[in-house]
Amino acid sequence: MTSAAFIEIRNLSKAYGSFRALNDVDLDVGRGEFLSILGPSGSGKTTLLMALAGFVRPDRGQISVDGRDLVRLPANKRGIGVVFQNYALFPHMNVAANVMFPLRVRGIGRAEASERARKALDIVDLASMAERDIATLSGGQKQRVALARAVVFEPRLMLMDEPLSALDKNLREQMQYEIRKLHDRLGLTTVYVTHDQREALTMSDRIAVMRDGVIRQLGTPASLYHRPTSRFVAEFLGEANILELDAVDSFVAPEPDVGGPGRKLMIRAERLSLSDASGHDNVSLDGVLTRSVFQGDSWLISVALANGGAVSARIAAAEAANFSLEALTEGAALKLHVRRDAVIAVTDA
Amino acid sequence: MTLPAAAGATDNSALLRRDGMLAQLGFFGLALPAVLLVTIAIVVPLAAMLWISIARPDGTVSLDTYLKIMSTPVYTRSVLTTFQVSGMTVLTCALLGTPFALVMASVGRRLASILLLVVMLPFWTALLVRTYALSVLLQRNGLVNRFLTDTGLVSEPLPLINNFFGTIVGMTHVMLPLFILPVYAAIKQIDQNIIRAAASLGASKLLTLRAVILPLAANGIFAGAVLVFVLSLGFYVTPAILGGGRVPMISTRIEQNVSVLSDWPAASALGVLLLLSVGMVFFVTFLLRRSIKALGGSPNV
Amino acid sequence: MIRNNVRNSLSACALLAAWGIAGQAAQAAEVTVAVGGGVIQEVGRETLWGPAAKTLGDTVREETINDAYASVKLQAAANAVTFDLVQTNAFQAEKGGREGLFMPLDYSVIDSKDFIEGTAQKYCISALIFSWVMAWNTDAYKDKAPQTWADFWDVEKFPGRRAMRNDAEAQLEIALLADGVPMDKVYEVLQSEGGMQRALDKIEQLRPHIAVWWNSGAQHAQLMKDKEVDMSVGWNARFEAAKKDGAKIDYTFNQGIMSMDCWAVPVGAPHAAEAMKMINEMSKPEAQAKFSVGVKYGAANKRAYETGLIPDDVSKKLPTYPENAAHQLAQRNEWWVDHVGEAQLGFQEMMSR
Ligand SMILES: Nc1ncnc2c1ncn2[C@@H]1O[C@H](COP(=O)(O)OP(=O)(O)OP(=O)(O)O)[C@@H](O)[C@H]1O
Ligand SMILES: [Mg+2]
Repeated sequence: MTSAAFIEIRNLSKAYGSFRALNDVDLDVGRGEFLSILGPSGSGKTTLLMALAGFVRPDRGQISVDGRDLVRLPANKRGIGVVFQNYALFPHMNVAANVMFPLRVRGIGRAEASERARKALDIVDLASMAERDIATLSGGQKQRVALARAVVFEPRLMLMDEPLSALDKNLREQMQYEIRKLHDRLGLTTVYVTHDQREALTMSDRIAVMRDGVIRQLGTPASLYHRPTSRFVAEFLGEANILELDAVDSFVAPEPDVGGPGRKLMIRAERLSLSDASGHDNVSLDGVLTRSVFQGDSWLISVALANGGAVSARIAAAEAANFSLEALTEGAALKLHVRRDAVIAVTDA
Repeated sequence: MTLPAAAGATDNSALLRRDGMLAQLGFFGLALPAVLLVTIAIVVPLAAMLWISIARPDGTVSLDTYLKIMSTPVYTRSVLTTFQVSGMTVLTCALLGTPFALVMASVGRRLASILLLVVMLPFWTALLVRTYALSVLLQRNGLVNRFLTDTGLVSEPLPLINNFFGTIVGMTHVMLPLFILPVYAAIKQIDQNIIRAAASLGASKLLTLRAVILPLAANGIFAGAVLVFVLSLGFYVTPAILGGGRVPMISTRIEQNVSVLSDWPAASALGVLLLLSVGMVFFVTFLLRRSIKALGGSPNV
Repeated sequence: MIRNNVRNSLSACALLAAWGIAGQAAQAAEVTVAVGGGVIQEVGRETLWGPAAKTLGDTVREETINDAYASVKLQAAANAVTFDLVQTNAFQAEKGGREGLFMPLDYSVIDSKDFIEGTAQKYCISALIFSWVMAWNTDAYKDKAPQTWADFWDVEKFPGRRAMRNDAEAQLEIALLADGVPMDKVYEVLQSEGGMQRALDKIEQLRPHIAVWWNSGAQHAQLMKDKEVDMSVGWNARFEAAKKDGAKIDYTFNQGIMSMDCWAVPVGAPHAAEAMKMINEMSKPEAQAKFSVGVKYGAANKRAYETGLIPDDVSKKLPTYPENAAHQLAQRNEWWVDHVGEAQLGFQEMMSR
């Protein structure tokens, strides 16, 4: 991104005692972009988000949104919509009062506030529940109220901290879709924290993967998935086989420094195949099958390689159907194939 | 095991209900001695008090004592005084205790426990000692007055003790912890994210306090207020020592009737009235709570 | 059959034993003495009922009680009186006596001819005497000390804050003395139409200058020590102790009101006759003198001061020392028992008005 970015974060650091929760973070987010922050527990996701919202005072660094420096602006003056993990609705107010709250705070009259709240509730399909008590709502309904409340005052920027983690799988998938739809419809810029990689891949324009207070890699879902630069990112986003550089005979490093110390090879499990599809620049690996598990749509097989090391391969049901059952029993010798450009060099950390 | 074909359709509810009842009976059996003991220890003296207040020497029953009390200014005024003192104590506890609890809930853990210690400190000293200590502070030549006159803030010592003011100071001193603890617990229970949410939605600190924190702590404030009020109604030592004889509470009148007038019926009747007052407070509390709930309990911004 | 024999012989033994105990009781009674504890109980055991029991060949069981009247009333109500001798204040003895809780004392057994006038009453006889006196701050009144209750009321000549008790007892007598009623006419005036009101009105006059209505002995001495008030009605022994402690105060027996705690015998006492004899022993000059020295209260038996057992420096500070007693009034409880309700309620009314 250039300096035209909507959000610019520079050298942001935050320490709790001697523990560095954020370590020199740089991040740009474009206008209208949906950016996810993904990372394991304790990696600093919430800290980064709360620094944006104004609840964490960074020790060093700058944050600006739309060209405006935010670091010293109190949270209530930032005009940023925030959705919290546990909804954070006001339990002593009903649905309508919750959604009207930001409008009334801004001095908007009751009639207009009520009308705008109704519209916001309409967007999240809750118009009929305006008079309900918060305690009587389901988790999904509470989440929608929280969304309506966060967008009703028309913020340009929306921050969400694991908003769906308390919901069950089906509802979560539905809400993922609705949140993304809301984002597009209202033209929001959204920073979305999650530690669910599938969620991040599904929803985001770009993903920032964090670890130990540092952004390890930033990119589109596909680029992060297919071209991770580190073993950590590779393993965090899917099934990754990590091999020594010499495990693949005819592998030629695409980059000059790939043979350096601490480098490994990464192959996604589903990119390994039993058949040698012609017309591609393929690499093959010899080995013995040590374990196979039937998983419905695919087989997950473990193979001990002749050159040392082991890999897991996910064989789609359609491909597996081409082979006899004996070929997939333990002890069978086999040959795995992979496209040369699916063998990725990564750092070993 | 083979089940008859219709087994799945049998109705178990009657059997299950019986099992449940037996289990309950067993539980009651275990609890019975304790329940009996408590009942006897509480109900019997109360019944005796009620009886003494209405029994005539000849064994008949009358409300004479109550009528006498209602028509004697000394008693009616002490009822008024008791409610004034209790109400004022609740007010000062609320004015001092709520901010204190807020501060306690918002500072770090270490400072909070120090503050908690400060609040609890009076609990560890005997009531009488504390009360006399207060009189050392507040009397004509006490530390407070000496400071005020030495610094020229006042020319004459202020009457800080042996009056209504001194009584309220003493009562507040005794009752404050009882108010702060439930309020602190209530504030502490509020999800930090709710307070953050209010700020993110644009509410200033003051507005957040008024529209979010206080309403959510209302249960605790209410509990503290009722507790303090009810305990104040029956308080004796502090008004007796710090009131200088000018703050006659119902309890003072009870004591006088027992030890000075040896008028047990009057003492008992006053005791019954005090008990009724407490009951009334709880009843009003209950009604208040219910009507607030019925109104939807949504004090909007 | 064997078992039957055993049972017979057991009951025979029990009978014998019971007879044995009864026989013993006829010779030497175990007299139950109920007192309020503290130093009075300690010294009393050493100088009063201890020696008395020894002389009479009795034994004593002590009970410590808080409120003699209430305790006896409870025992009587339960028909289980166990006290033979109780120490109580004179007012409650008179009231209890009229209600049938205490029996008239047997003055054919008790010799009271040398007792101060008014201290040997129908239902009770003095155990100890204290005085309601006036104390003042010696710094506040350097040039001229107040001497009479009229001075206590004179806020022109003696400006300053006063303290009185939050209870009518003795305060009414004091008010009448301040109003010029001669000592021997106080109860006459109280008894007369409007007499009580006169006393209450007199106190109301002074009310703006009464900073504290005290309610305990500890409190009123402290008030003087702390200079919270400049002048106070109070108990002689408390003021004496404060003075000894270095407080800048003094007090006078002049126009003091002598009050007493006394011995009474509950109706239904198991050993009433022994109790009377014991009272007689405890009323003798030597016993009274020794007890008086030990507790620093006045003895009612005037001859106690002739025994030589009370050192001079002690005797002069006792309320009943002839010099002191001569200027004082002995409190009469007959009037109080008849009028306590209206007097106390009237007083409270006046106080809280
Ligand atoms: N107020 C605080 N005081 C001390 N340490 C803190 C504080 N807040 C956060 N931390 C620490 O900073 C680190 C990052 O916390 P953060 O909440 O940002 O993690 P996260 O990535 O959101 O984790 P999760 O997925 O569990 O929510 C954690 O190790 C946490 O313990
Ligand atoms: Mg987090």
